[in-house]
Amino acid sequence: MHHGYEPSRVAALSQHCSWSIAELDAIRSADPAAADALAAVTRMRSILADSIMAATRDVGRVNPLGRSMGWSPAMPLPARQPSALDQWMNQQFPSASQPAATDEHTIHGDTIDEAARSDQDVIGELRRFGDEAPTDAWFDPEHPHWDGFGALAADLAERTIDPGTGEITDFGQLLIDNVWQLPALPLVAVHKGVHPKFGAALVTAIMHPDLPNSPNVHRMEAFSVEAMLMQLSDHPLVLADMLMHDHQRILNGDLDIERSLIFQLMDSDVIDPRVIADALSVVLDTSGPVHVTDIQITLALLTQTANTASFERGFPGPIAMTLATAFVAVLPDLEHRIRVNQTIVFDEIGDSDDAVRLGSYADVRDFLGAILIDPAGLVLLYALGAQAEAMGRGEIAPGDVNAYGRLLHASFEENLHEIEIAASRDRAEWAAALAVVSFGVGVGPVGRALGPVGVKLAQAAVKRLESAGAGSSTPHRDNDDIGLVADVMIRFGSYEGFLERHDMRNGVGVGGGDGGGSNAARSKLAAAWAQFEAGEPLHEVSRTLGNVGELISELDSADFFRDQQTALDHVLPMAESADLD
Amino acid sequence: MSHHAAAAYRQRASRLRNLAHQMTSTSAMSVHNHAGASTWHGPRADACLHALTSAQHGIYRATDDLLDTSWRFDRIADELEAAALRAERELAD
Repeated sequence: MHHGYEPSRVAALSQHCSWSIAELDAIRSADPAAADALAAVTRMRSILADSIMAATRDVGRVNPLGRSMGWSPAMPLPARQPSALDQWMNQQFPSASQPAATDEHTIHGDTIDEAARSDQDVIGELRRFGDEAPTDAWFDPEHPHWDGFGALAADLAERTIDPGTGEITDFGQLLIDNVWQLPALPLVAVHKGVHPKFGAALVTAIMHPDLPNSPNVHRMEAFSVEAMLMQLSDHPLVLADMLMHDHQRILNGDLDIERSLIFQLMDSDVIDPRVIADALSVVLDTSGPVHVTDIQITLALLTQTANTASFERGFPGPIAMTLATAFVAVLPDLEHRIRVNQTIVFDEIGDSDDAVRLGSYADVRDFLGAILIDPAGLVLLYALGAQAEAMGRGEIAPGDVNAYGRLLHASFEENLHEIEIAASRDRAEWAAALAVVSFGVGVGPVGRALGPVGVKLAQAAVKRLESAGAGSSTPHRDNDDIGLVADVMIRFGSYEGFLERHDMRNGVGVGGGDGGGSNAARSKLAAAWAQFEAGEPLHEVSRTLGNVGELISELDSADFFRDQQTALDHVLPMAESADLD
Repeated sequence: MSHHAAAAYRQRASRLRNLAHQMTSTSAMSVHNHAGASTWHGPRADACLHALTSAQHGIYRATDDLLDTSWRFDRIADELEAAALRAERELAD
């Protein structure tokens, strides 16, 4: 027969028996109807003390189990370092070898230390729920095993937060520090009565960077952290505090970003990126309750995160979309500060001198690059489009538009290789074309051409790339070159802008002007947009745009075509130099 | 007198239920999780685990009996209360 034992687990078994004996010793009843029950308790105590603990004492002295597995009979059992939970339990339940502190226990709660015993009951019940859960119960919140768990969670909710201070109690911290011995504890954290601070502290403990890369750690990350993040999404301020944990030390360079909670969450290979994206979107929502400074700090942490080896491959799609949207929202607080090779800093808030530093120019470039590797990152272009439109209205200086366009251009160029690998050559070519266009938007003629439709153009470009990624039925666009892409985009923008100005000048829609010609051109232009977004070959789109040009030439459009040619003259040389071939 | 007797039975029922809850809440009912094959194995280990499991089953049977008894005590209390009320109404009449 095969014999063996694991010394540390045997020591743990001995300790658990000791606690159990102390708990059993506290069970008393004077009721004659309880005689058989007390006999069962006595028998259990005897098994623990006289059978199991005796065997654990014998292990290591002689070979009571037969031949031991590489264990010297002369060696004593290794001392097991007591955890904080062990020490608390030892205080509440002295060893069975020591006399009981008092004989004045009864069942009804007139014990000397009622609060401690209540906490013990709760820990025991929590431990039992976790230790005895069948595998399928972890996937099924309606499983009968969890009957009564809600009442326990509600009880724990009251014990883990001080109602006066709103801070986690010592008991709550004890539970958090020993989460790995209490597998059901994360399920308590998602109970609706539990304070979100407790859940946030538990996430921080589970995601600690020093934890081993083991299946148990991964399991708790996957099942527990996701649920707690979803719960915390209803508490943006608590979530923001959690994500900014240790931010001062990180942003000062005193702590590596890889040790931050935000990095650990983003780098997890078991947590669903959509859950992380949702949590980030709650915190980064500029219309939400999180203070704008905290949003800026979180973006600064994410910028550092992007500049680690783990994110050379870019952010996953859902996260890329969330970060792109967030960056676009805060761009107005940055756009005056974006200058090549200069540190990028948010505008100061109010009278504060402590402006938040987003990062160096290179770091922010790579942050945007990590976003752009996923097509969802093209949302960043919406901001460029909006800036171009605002420039057309005189609300923003061309220099600021140009600065942002340059930054995007640099982000594309720096990550073109990753875009090509992660997406497709089509997308890489499009990325290059978009970079060219973004670079050129701040240039007067191009800006005037594209400005009015900047956002629409960005949206259409994203749709076209999405249709390409979805495997549209159109043949591979081998003949698309960057010059043709840029040409098509310039013409889209300029035709839309012309028709809008033409309709305004001629009162189209208010009973005047050449509505017939304008409507025909607009209808043909809409068809071109549809072709473009559906991913049809660009030469087909270009042919349709040619028809639009013919219709527009029948309107008062002499200056228009001259301006359009000027814009093309600016952009096409840049496109040729950026060609991937 | 019957009211007092009914209250006494209800109190006993409550105490027996508390006792049952206390017995099943102890960590003794989950010690087997620490005494399995990942901790130790061999004839003596198997005997310990078998005895432990048997003792745990004994606890569960005992608590089931306690809950049955407490239920019976509550029914007795109900009957005593009803008898006391009848006696009081007869006296009043």
